[in-house]
Amino acid sequence: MAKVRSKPSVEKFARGVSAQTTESVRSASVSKTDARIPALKDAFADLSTARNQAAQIKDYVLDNISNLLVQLEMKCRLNGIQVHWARDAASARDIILNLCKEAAPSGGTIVKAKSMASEEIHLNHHLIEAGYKVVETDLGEYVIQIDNDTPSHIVTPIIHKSKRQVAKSFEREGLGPYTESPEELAAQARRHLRARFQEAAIGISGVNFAIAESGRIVLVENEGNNRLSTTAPDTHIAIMGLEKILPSEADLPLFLRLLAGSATGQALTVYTHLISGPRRKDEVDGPKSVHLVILDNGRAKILNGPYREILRCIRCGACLNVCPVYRQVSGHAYQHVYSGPLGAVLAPALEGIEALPDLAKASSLCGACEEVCPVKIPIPRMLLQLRDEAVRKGVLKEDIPWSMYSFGATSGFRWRMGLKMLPMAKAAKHPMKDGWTEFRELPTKEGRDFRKWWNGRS
Amino acid sequence: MADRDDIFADLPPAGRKARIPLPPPPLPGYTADALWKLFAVKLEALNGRVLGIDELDLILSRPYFLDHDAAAHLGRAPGGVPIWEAEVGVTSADLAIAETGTVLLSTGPGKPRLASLTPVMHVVIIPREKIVATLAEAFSRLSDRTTVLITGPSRTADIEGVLVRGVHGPREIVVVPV
Repeated sequence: MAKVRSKPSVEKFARGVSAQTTESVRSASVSKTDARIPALKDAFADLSTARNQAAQIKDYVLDNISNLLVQLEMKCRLNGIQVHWARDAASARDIILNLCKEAAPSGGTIVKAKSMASEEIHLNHHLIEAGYKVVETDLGEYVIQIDNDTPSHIVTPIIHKSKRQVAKSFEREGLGPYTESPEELAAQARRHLRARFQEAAIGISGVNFAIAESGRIVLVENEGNNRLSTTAPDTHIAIMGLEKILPSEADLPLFLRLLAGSATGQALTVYTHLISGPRRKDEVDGPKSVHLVILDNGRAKILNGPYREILRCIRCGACLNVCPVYRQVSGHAYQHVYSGPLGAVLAPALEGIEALPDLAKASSLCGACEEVCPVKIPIPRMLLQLRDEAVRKGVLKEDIPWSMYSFGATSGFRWRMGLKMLPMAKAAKHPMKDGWTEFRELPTKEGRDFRKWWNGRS
Repeated sequence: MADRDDIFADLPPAGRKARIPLPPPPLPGYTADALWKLFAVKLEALNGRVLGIDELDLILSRPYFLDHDAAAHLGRAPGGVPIWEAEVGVTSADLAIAETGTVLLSTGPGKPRLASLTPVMHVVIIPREKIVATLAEAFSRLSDRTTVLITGPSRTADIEGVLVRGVHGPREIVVVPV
């Protein structure tokens, strides 16, 4: 039998989250959720149809993934984009390190645009150990890096931090004097990172969409750091999960507007970058070589199993923003780079239920995640399926109170005895009721007894 | 290549489901003038501006870089200060997209990518007739060059959700139909 994990459970972790963090995460999540609907209503006459279309297109991609990957590979090569395949995280790290050694044998600066795939394979650590100076250039990711922290949201990585914390970190790193103005903090980061873009020989990015028909890499962002990272250095390395394909550019308007609206309530992100390959002879700037690393790392396995629809995900973060559990505990509680309802399915699906057995419990199954999902992923159904799988494999134990409840509730006699004992439970100091009475009072039985009335009625 | 073979061995066989076609984009049927009005509303909501060609003198008194096509429209010499030092980047664009207030720029001879990115102000020169209603129309006219769609000034809300403009790219964007 698989070993039961000894890491702290989500629930235990959640108890340690500070009130300040919860408030930061909750208020940012609420405002993003509020901005979502007006943006999407403005973009689509019929939002429900748009979501259905997007889900169908992603299902088509998943159904035909091997053909589309072959097509993408061929078209990328025609465009001069070099394609590399990585079975797992270790293989992806080695491929990227070798590309870096080719491009900059004596080390140097690598500028990085935000990429969840690179977080997934823990790329930075590997490159830093090999002697490279890796600099995250997205404002939030930069703060995460200098604080030795990890992102707590897939779109807004420092959702758990206040401006005072950011200001202290910037002051410590010598970016400028302490200030609580977000405007001035952003200006400090702009000045500091500008020099990094100019000195870097290599830029590393993720991929939002890869177009099979045209062999183009599509990147979306708001800050401009992603464009700088993929334009200024001589070498651009992009890494994508193999499911990030769209069949054609005609599919982009739908997905770009769903993504921007669901993620941040925008009509469109500020920059949508469609990369057709390296700099051509008649062009004056842009990278001289472009590499695309296509990552499996468990995805092929997911495609053949019950959690296949999670690979429709376009990483908008709407399910995180709307989730009552995420809002309360924040992203770090999920103990994986992918957090929130998406992460609660994707993380154990990628790594195996044995590695992360209790993530599926980090949900109230309220269904809000499925409601907001732009590609209609049935997250609650998959969370139930994961719980079932975890219990069947013996890696997740039912809580004692629930086992006792089910023991009591499955026999009439035991249920009646239990009801009689309930008033005593209120008085007793009992471990069973701790979770409940931390925030609430147990109800006092009032009025007459239903069973007595029922039995005595004539 | 061993990785490639392993991955393909694990992928499910191709499905037989047919591709569901996207609905055709709505027919435009708008005049360029009407589309420019909508464009201005959308861009101004993002804190961008639409200006006339005769309103650029003050802007061009700052150190600028001018790309080839924009220079031809303005009747000035292309170039200027090095791009990384320019305060204003003046570029041409292929298309304006009314529904989102977006401009579409492709790369090519005399059109450096960084000119629209490193200066604090980006001025975009577009021929009046080069406007479409929807993103779908714009994507049906893409060239095979690396292309960028720009929708408003560079922004971030990473710090406490407060909107800050000009974090890495331009703080201001000005679109000039000619």
